[in-house]
Formats: sequence, C-alpha cells, structure tokens
Amino acid sequence: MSLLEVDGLTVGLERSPHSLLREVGFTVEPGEVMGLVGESGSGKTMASLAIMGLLPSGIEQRGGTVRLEGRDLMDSGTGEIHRTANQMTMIFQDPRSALNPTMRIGRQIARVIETNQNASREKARAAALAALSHVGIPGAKRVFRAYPHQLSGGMCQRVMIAMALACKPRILIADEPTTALDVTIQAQIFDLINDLVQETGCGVLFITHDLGAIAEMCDRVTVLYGGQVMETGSLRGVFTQPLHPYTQFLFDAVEREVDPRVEEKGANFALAGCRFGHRCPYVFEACGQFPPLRTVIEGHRSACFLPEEGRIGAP
Amino acid sequence: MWRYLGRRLLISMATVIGIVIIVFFIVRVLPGDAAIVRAGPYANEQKVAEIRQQYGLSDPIPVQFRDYISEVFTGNLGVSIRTNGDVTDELLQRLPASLELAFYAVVLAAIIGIPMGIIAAARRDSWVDRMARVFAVLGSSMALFWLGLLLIYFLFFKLRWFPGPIDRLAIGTEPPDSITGFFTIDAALHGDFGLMVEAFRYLALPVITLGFVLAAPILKMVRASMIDALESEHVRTARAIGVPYWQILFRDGFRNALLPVTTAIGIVFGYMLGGNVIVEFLFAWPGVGRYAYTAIQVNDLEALQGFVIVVGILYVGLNVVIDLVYAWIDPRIRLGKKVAA
Amino acid sequence: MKSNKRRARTGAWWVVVLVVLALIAAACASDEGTTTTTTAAPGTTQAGDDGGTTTTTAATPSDEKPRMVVALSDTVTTVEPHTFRSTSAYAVTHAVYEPLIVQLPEAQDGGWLLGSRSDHVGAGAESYDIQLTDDGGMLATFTLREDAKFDDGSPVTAEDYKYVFQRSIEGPGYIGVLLPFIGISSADQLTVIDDYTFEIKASVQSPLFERFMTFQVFGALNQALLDANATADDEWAFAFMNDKSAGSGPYFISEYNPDTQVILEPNPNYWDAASVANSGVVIRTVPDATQRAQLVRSGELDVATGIPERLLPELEADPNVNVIEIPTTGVHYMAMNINLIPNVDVRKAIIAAVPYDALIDQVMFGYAAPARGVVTSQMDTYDPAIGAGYATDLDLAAQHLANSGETDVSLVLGVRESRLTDQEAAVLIQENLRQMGIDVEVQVLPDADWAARASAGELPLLIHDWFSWGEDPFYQMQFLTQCGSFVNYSQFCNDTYDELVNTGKFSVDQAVRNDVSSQAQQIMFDNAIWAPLWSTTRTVATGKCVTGLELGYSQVPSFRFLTKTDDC
Repeated sequence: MSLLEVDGLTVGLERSPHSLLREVGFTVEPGEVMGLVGESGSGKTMASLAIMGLLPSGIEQRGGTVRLEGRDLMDSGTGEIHRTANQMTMIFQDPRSALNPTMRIGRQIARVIETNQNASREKARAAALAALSHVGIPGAKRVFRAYPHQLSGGMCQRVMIAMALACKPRILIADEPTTALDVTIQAQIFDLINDLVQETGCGVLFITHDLGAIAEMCDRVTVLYGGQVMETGSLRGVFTQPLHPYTQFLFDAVEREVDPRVEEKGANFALAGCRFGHRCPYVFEACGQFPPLRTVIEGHRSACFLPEEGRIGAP
Repeated sequence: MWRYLGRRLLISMATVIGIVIIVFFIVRVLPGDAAIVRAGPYANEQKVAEIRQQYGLSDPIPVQFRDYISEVFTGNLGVSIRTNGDVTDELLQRLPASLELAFYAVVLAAIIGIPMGIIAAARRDSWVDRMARVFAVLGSSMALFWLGLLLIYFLFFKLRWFPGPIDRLAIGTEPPDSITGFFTIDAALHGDFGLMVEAFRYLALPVITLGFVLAAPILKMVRASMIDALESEHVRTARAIGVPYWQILFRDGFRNALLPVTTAIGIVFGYMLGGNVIVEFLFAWPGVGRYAYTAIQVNDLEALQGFVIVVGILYVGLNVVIDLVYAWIDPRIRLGKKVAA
Repeated sequence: MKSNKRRARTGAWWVVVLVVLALIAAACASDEGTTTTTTAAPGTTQAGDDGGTTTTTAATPSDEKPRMVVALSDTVTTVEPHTFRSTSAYAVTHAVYEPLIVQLPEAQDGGWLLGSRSDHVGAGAESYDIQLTDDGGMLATFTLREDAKFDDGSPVTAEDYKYVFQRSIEGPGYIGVLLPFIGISSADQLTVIDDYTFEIKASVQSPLFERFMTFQVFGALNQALLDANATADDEWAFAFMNDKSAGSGPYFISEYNPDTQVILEPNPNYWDAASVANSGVVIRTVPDATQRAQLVRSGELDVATGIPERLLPELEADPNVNVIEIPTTGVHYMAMNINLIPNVDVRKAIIAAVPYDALIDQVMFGYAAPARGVVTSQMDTYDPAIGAGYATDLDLAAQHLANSGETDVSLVLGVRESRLTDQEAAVLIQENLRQMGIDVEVQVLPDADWAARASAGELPLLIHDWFSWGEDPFYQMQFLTQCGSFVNYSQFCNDTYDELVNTGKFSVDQAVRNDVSSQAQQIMFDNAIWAPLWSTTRTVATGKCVTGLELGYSQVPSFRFLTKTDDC
C-alpha cells in the first residue's frame, strides 16, 4: 500500500466546463521523494493544493480520490478534503509571504507545536527554539524573537521547514521550495528535506520546474503538462529513457539551454484529447482522445498513443 | 521607530502651520458683510463703520494677516462677532460635547461593523454575508436626519424608551465636575453612576443614529480587508500547518487586516471631529458643529477661522495617533532593521 | 461537538444579542439614583421621563413652585442690555431688568395674559405723571418704589435709572437710535430730584414716550456694579455685561451658555417676589423647530415659540397642547428697489400680481392677516380705503404692465436662506409674475450675503420682515421707508412723505395722526414701492396645564406669572 495515492484527480473552475487538472494520478511511497515536474501553468501547484484541501475559492474538485495510508481523505458528505497537519503538510514557494508578518517567528513555530503535538505553552516554546537550531539557523534566540521581514529568504524557508517538521507529517509537499532562493542555500534546504525523510520515513512530494533539482532530490518523477500527467516512473528510468514526446521535449530544451517555459502558445485547456497535442511533432488522429497512462516498462508509465518504436532513442 | 515618530510630528506641525495660513484666506472669500449682521436691524452707516473699525474688518489684508498670525500662535483665536465671546473659550466649551458624541458613535459603529465584516468575510456568500452587504448599502445611502427623526419619533415620542432631544442631561441636572469633558467618564470618575447612566441615556439616540450610518463604511472595509487577508499566502500556510479555525480567523486574518481597518476607523472618527451639524441640530446637542454652521450663516470670520484651526489641529493629532497605532500593529513599520541574513 | 462553522454562527448571534440587551438595558434604566441638583434650592420635578420624577434638595418644604422650561425661536447670543439682538435675548432681558412702568396685564381666554396697549402701571416707579409742556415737549415725573432692590440686595435709586438712560444715550449700543423718537438726546434731560424721584424732559411730544418707558432697555442697571467693572476702553462695562445680569427685575441670570441655555432664577430681593409664580425658567435652545413642537407635545417643554405654521394644525388638534394666537402689527413685505425698477407702472403691475390670499393660506396656513401697507391692517392710524388697494387683480396688473411700455421684464428676487417662509412665498410670487410675463429669478442667499446686497441696493426685489417696538406706525414708517434709513431697501426718497412722518411722530393728537398717516399711506401707494405680503399671527405653543404666560409689546414673553399644575 502506498503512503499517498492520488487517482483520477480532476479540478476545474466553477461554472466552466474546462478542467484545470484532468485525471491526475500518482503515488508516493514511504521514505521516498516523488518529483512533480512541469512548466509553470502545468497544474503542479493546483494539484498539491487540491490534495491538501486548500483549493482557493472559485475552484472546485470534480472527481478523483486521495488516499493516505489507504484511507480516503474526502468527506463524502461535503465533497471536501479533510486532512490534518499530522497527515500531510506543505511548504510554499515564497517563504517570506508565506509567514505571518505580524507574528514573531518563535510564536509561529510554537503554535504549530502546541496544536499538533498537544504541548503546553512552555514546552512548545522550548521545542520551537530547538526546532530552529535543528534546521540550522544560527542565533536561534534572536531569530525566535524576530519578525519575518527581518530575515532573509533562506532563513524564512528554514523556518517554514521547521514548522513543517513540527507537524510530524506523513507526507510533506514542497512546492518549489528553493526557486526564490540562492543556489548556495538550495543545497542546504535539500539536505534538510533529506534529513527529514531519513529521520521520519515520511514521503515527500517535491514540486519544481527545475530538472536539476529533480535529479538531485527525487527517487521517482511525474511529468505534468496542461493539467495532465504525461509520464511517470523512476528517476533513472524517465531520465535515461523518456517515453513521452513532451518529456523528450523538456530534456531537449535543457540541453539546448532553451527555457522550456517560453512558448508561443499556452496550454489549451479546451482540448479534449491530449493536451500536448498542439505542440507534439508526432500528433495523429488518435490524439484527439484522452490518452490514459499505460505501463510501457515495469514501473514506468506514459500517456501517449504512439507505439514506442517510432520514437525511442532519438537523441 | 523614534525617527518615524519624529518625522511624523514634524510633518504634523508643518501641516498645522499650513492650515492656519490657508484658512485666513479662504474665510475671507466668503461673500456677505459680517458688520451689517452684527450691527443689527437698528443700524445705520455710521454704526456699521464703527463695527468694521472695531473688528478690524476694514484694515488692509496684510495688517489683518499680521494681527491674525501673532494672535493665533499665542492661542488667541479672536472674538466672535456674533456673541462677543472669546472664540477659544467658546470652542473649547463646545468641543467635549461633540467629541463625546463622536467617540461613542465610532465605538458603536465599530461594534456593529467589525464583527459583521469579519463574519461576512469568513462566510462569503452566505446569508450573513448578503445581509451584511445590504446593511452596508442601507447605511451608506441612509439620510442621517431621516434616521434621526425616525428614532426620535419611535423611541422617544411613541415608546418613551429614551429621553427627548433636548440636551446631554436632563434639564436641571448638574453636570459632573469636568476632568475630561466627557460626562460619562467624568461621572464615573466621581463615582456617580446614576449620573453616568443618565448621560448615556441622553447620548443613546444621537449615538445610535450616527453609529448605524458610520458602521457601513467600517463594515465594508473590514469585509474587504478580511477577504484579502484570508486569501493571502500566510493564511494558506496556516491552514496547511494545522492552525485551528478561530485562530486563523483572528490571528492570521483579522490581525493582518487591521491596518486598513484602522484607517477606516480613523477616517470615520476624523469626519466626526468637526461635529456633525445635522445631528447636533436635530438633537439640540451643544457641540461645535452647530457653532460653525451658525458662524457661516452670519459671516463670523473669527469663529470660523478658530473652528477650522481647532478641528485641523485635532485632525492632525488624530493622524499622528493613527500612525502610532500603525507602528504598534505592524512590526514592519516599527522595526525596519534586519536581524540576520 | 459543534463544527467550527456552527460555532462561528452562534458567536455572531451572541454579539447581536448582547448589543440588543445593552440597548434595552439603557432604555429601561430607571432614574433612581440620578442626582439632580439646581443652583438655587427649590424642589424640582422633572416632566415627561418614564419611570418617574426625581425630587431633591427642597430648601423650604412649603415652596412648591414649578420650574419652567421654555424654548424660543432663536438662540441667545448676548444678554448685554443695550446691544442684544435675538428674540430670545429680548425675553431674557425683559425678565431681569425692571423698567419704571409696565403694561397692565389683561387676562385672555386660555389662561394667558396680554399686555394692554393703552394702560400702564407702575413697576420700578410706584407712581408717575406725564405732562405736555408748553415748549412742545413732555415732562415725566416718576416716584420710585423704595423697596425695590437689585439681585445683589442693593437698593434701586433714581441714580440707577438716570445711569441706564445716560448709558443708552452715550454708550455704543443701538438704543441711541431709538431715542430721537422720544426726543431725548442728552443726559441734561435726565434729572434726579432725590433718591426716589426721577424726571425726564422730552423735547418732543409723542405717544411713544410712555410706551418706551416700559421697555427693558430702560430698566434699572446696577450702577455700582457696572462702574466697578468698567475699564478705560469700556467705561460703560459693555464687555462685562455680555454674559450676566445686573437688574432689579423678577429674575437674575444664574447660568448663561450662549447657543445652549440661559437659566433664570427668581430674584430673592425682588420687591414683589411673592407674585413670581415659578421657581425659575430654563430657556433652552432647541434649534430644530419640529423638535420644539414635539417636545411641547411630550411635555419636556412648557412653552415653545417659532413653531412652523405647517405644524400648528397638528398641535391645535393635540389635547396636551394649547396654541396661543396673537395678531401682530409687524409686516412681511416685498420691497421693490425704485432705482433698479424705475418704471412705476411696472411696480404697480407687480403689486397687483402678488397672490396675497394664497400666501396667507398656503405659506402661512392661515396664521397671518393681510398687511396692506407699511402701516398694517392691525395698526393704529391704518386707513382701510387705501389699504384695500393692495389686492390681487391680474387684469389690472396686465393693464399696468401694458401702460408701462416695457416688455421682457426680468428681475432678481433675493431671500434669506434662514427664512423658509420667505422662500416659499418667493416661489408663489414668481409663479404669478411669470403668468404676467415678468421673469423673476429667486436667489436664496446666506443671511450675511443678503444683508450686504440689500444694504448696497443691489437687489431689485427682496423679501424682508419687520416689527416695531412700541408698535407705532410712524416709527415703522421711519425705519422702513424714510429717505436714507438703513433698512429702507426700496431706496424710496420722498420729501413730502418724510415730512408727514416727522409730523406724525411728534403729535399726540389722534386726529392729526390719522390724517397725516393717511396722506403718507397714499403717497406710498401711489409710488408703488412695496407689495406688503402679510402680518404674521404670532403663535406660542404651551403645555395644556401651563398658564400665566404674559405677552407684551412685540410679543416679548414675560415669565413672571408662568406656572403649571399637575392636572387641569
């Protein structure tokens, strides 16, 4: 049984027929880091918010299940996801705006500990101080009393991680945790996440558009485009043998140092069939239908109608 | 923070000086001859000329300006051409009545507007939210005197729940010895709670009238800024890390919506500072609003100038207080420096 | 366990419930424990509160006179006895200063008193005598009461009366303007024979002389007190008297709050204190006329004046209220500036076009009488044959207009912002004139602006109103229509007319007065300088059990006999 199982997740704007996410599915095993990669606008953040039950107003979940350790998180009555921070928690892209600007750092961490670990005020304070040191923040006492605007981005992200740690979650979702930070800080943050996985055996859903970060951090990868899963498999498998035209396109872009995010047309959410169809060099009639994920190799699936022979191996 | 405060005070002083200078010229643009009104129905040319002379109305403008400036900065706001009284004294005598009314009206408006705004934002598009929006529209479009008349007619005349619109206390009741000028507070400070209750009863109708109407802008601002706050990223984080609902609503939502809400309350209170003429007329409230209005009617320049200056100073003072409140609320304003890189 | 959302809803309901409870608590709070203190002792009863009356600190147990609450039509701005201007200040000064003689009060139906226009009685003077002298003047001899005292207990002597007359002659107040009417111009005409005998020698003969002696501006002033507070710049202590009283009348001012209230307490040293029927009067400023009416109906006010005419029918129908009506000799008129409207036929046309009856019915709701000239229809020496000419006749108006030879007449009518009746009248007049082809633009101007333009002669048409102290026709004619007078807004200047007025002013012969006045009225009519709109019927609303209000010249109220009973 997977730690986290997402199946058939479909999300769209209220009152609009188009779907922002279509039949998105993947799993996260215990102790594993699953990477969710795609361009901006591919739906990565939307998927994570949907799983967390934090969809903004105006966006609704239309279908799919989210199971944590086998239990369905959705409340059948209200159709809303009920999840505690103990089960699943998330850290966000811009750490500075993700923290409450009018609350001291120490208090922000301590309250997480109070709620999630049912601790008393004093215990929580002590634990918060410890958490700050644990994530490698020097001068923890001063930072404890500081406000977010007085810290750098990297420090804030560490604070976020400390808060996430305090939840002792089974699943941690990290949405572009280092995109807003220096490369040098990035390595430290990655270490922290890895430490967390080692210590608690939790699963991590690591969301990014940066293939390099995926290569460093992830055990498995899911590729997302236009709200649709294109390919999913082990890190090595997907990187050495990309089955889906889109994945190939991504890797080509990296090699040619072209920014894959820049393109003439945005993803067209009105397309009924494969969302990559309008940019795919191999597009043919069958692509007008929705392509399901097919297992091509053991543990390696691709959502494409084309037989592999015509495409594999092209450098 | 002290530099911030110091800067604000300097700007405030400059503003007050600007007010003093500008009001001199604006007031003299008014058409009409105060000397004729002062002279009364039995006047003749000679009398009117004497009065002009006495009040310096026929002096050249630079002379009038020089006298004016030297007097104002010693706290002498002149003599009212209408009552013969000292303008400073007359204003200071009436100011507490207007301020007490303003204070409680704003408190009531906040009591109505803030919770309603919070709930409306927390349960958007629910029936509470819709009711709150209707209330906001009603309050914004309601004519103050209409509401006042209605309240007087039903709550006093018909039901006798509250006393008549005749004063701040019953005729014959001695007001408490003045400490703050607020009858309610002064009575309490002297331990006379019966008097305090009486003062509240007389305050009730005008305060309700004003409070209902003022609640609307506060409600709108609270609702809007709460919605903003609740849709912010840090609220999303708080929900992600399991902070309980109430705490999110107040500590993450409302607490961060306080800045625009404080501004709204400040604006509303500032609007009331000059006394609300309509309410003061209707309820026979002895405040500065009526005084200023009467001064305009008879071209009582000294009274008018004095009024604008005093209210201007109060308003500037209010803004400084609001800035202080900002600094207290928002640590980003209070503490600029970085703690660690 | 309730979900968070249900808890939010119950929380909201609690807030609403608490607020409503607080309001109810405030409303139902009884008056027990309310301390009620007054500056002077007598027991106090509060009218009209729910939950009961509060009585405190009765000084003398037998003293049960009620305290009266009165709201007048305007606010008191100064109580200085020779410079006051407002109607309310008239009432205050009338209460605190006692003149030599007063009008004889005559009881009316409904429990109020009207001062007689023909009979006077001694007040400050025990007895008096006025003789015509051979040199065309008058000599008045007053024997003063020996027990009259000022509110501070000091006795009133002839010196004090001489002082007040001298102050009016020589001081900067406006009373000096009135004195030529009775031929007093110098302190030499005032003689103190002894402490209690006082003489005034007037240089003309006028019926106004005796009337003027009843005015409060000639009430005894406490000379010792004023002298003690005079300064080098202000030898008559005008500044000192701005906010206090120093008189020998039935009351003194115990509290003065301009624009808010004035409290009159009975003068304990008044020689006739026993006749004062109340324990004091609170004159309260209630600026909104509708509220004044409502407060009389609810009993918070005992007396209110200045009720708008449109509210009077409702008050008359209310069994808790008495409405007193007093016809007056004042005049509400539309003046025509003869410099800006030089064609007399145009002016005659305008006079004939004004809807006089409609104004009385629709603007004044019937609480007015036709004015018919500067000498109004209720006034002494009024000539009805001439007055009848001021009537609405649109055909005649058209004829006059045709005779004038003018077409496309376009005029501005200026009215004061503070006078709603003037504005309403202006609209009706404008409508009638429009039917005749005369275009009128009504300008509503702030009072000070109106005053400036009217005095400068810039308004072709304007609406004004006037009442004369003493209600004398020649006085009225002089102020309003004599050449050069400050309020002669029509800029009328006719030598014959002025001579007639001057003759009438100083004649005590009724036949002469009637004749001269008629001639003057005819000249005024022929010159078509005014459309006299109406004479207001003054009204006073009182509580049903209130009696004893006395109204004198110019309807100035006197509070001496004002009282009320608990049921009636």
